Amino acid sequence: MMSVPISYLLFLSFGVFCFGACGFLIRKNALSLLICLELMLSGVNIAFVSFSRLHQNEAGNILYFLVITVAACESAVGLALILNFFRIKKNIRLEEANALEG
Amino acid sequence: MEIQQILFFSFAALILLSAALVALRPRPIESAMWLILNFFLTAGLYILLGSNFVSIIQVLVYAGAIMVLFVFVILLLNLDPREFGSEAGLPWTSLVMFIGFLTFIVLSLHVATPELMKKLPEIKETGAGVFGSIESISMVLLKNYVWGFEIAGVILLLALIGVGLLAYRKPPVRARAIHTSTTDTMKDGGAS
Repeated sequence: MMSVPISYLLFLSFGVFCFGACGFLIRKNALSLLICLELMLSGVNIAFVSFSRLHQNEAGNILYFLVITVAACESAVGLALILNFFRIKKNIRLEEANALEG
Repeated sequence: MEIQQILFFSFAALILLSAALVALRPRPIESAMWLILNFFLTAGLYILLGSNFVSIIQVLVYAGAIMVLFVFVILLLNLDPREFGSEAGLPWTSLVMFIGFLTFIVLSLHVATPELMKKLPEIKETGAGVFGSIESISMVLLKNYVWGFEIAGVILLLALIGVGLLAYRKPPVRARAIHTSTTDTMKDGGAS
């Protein structure tokens, strides 16, 4: 099977996570924000599955399933929120979401 | 260099490339398409790691279900560029990118220890079948992690209820509920 160090897989995981985090912080529309959130979760999943493979233990794979459960719930609720936001504001620009004066 | 290593490095480069394009393309539909490619490539990486069932679930659930939901909402909203805002003009974009890459380098240096630079061990038979197969994963899931399994079911049920509550509107009340105050809506709610 594949014979690369675990570090390379962790580098890949960190890279995907950091791209997702950068995208999350620089995007201005709500849909791209949720997409970058999925990218961050995918980067974490790579680390889980890699450690599961390293220790020949299924716990990482099971955490992968829990993470995709949370990702599915989060995307469904987030998209419903975006649809409500679009229904009220007629756009999805995040700088218009200032009702709380944050 | 054997074939699996070549495959791993090409998959890793393509995953990073598609992740960068997800984060940097301006339109949401382009981001979603590159994210679908990223999920397929990640599924290929999981096959290389030996987790076959996880790879199938990645394609079915992530690329199949979640991304179809995203693309459906993007096509339903049918936004023009004026409605999702221009990406230019953020003053902290380069600062955020710099801090992101700095974080990546620091984390990578943190794990680049000699112990973690050893090769992955060969896949061996575990107690419940080959690593990564459905038998092995489901035995461990239903024996050791059954509470996590139940809580995942509860989370899915709560998300279902929450999305139902968020999406539900009485059709005659809807037009007024947005534009008038809440007290008017409450007064008129019973009559209509």
